[in-house]
Amino acid sequence: MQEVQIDHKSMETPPDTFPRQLDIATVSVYGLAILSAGLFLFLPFVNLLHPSPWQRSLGTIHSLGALTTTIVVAYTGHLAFPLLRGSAKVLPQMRTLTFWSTVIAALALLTGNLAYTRYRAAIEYGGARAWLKANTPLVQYIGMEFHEFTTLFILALGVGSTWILWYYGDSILDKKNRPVLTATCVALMGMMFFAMGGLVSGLAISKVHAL
Amino acid sequence: MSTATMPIYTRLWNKLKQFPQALHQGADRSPSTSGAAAAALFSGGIGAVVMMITHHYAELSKANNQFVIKMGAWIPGAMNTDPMWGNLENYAGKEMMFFVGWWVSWAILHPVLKNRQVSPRILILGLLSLFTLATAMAWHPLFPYLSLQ
Repeated sequence: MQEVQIDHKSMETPPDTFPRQLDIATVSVYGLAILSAGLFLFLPFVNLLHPSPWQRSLGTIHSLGALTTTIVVAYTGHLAFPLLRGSAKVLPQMRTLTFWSTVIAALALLTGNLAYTRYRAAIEYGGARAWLKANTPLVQYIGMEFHEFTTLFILALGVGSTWILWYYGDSILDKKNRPVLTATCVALMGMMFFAMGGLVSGLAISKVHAL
Repeated sequence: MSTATMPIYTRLWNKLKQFPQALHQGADRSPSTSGAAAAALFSGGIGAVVMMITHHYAELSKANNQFVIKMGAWIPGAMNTDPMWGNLENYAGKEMMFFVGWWVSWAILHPVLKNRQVSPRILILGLLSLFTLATAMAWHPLFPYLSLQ
């Protein structure tokens, strides 16, 4: 039997030009992160393939508004955790971030009003509300009643939180203002809850009947 | 990592996080009472509950519904007559009552509570109760049957 000679030294030191495992892993992590975010943000554009012209126009606009709001509000909501622990580092950006979350939420609500008009169109013109009430009323009574009202709460919680974070300044982290900080974090979490609820209920309704 | 060596997207993101500057810095005061915060948070909850009361009121009778429709008739898209495009109808009136309830109660509560201490218990419970109540009021066990009358 012939013995095979293995050059152990050359295996241990690969050529410099060949990417190391760690480099491949880093590129993969960044690449996959960008690809998944891109894929997720692509979701509203699926509306462009819908046969209904209202879903293609109003549906795409409102989906874009809703998805952007949910992403920004969820980011703000996550930063409420370090804020609740009294992190001075995140406080300045929380003031601006809560403000922008509120602005984007307001825009999404405006596009929601646009979509809602078409939602109420007559049944002979393919109106979603009338069709749902006639065929599967629970979608209207449970899904839409929740959707059309609770999404407005994001605005009230957002304006209130932004105002408190500005008004109390850095003193919100003081011990005496601990209850104010806690209540503001609860409001920020409430914003996230209603944004998520709005996205899920909106998607569910449009899955049963489009605009 | 110094600012100069940071990638362009990190610098852009940091700049974005500081805009608007006045808001980024926060106000230069240190209120020692929780009343102002309570007014800001409670007023939103009151607006939400007022909207839900309007919603229930509109469902109770056709006359009530007409009243709510008339209230929000000035809002663009509320009274659109094209059956293909639809309209906001009574939703416009309900939305209006949300803003009225919210802003009016804030205008009243802020000066009243500004210099007062609201207990942590009332602050958290008030906020949670108002928004929970408003959310629960979206569903009424009898609503599906009222339209059959």
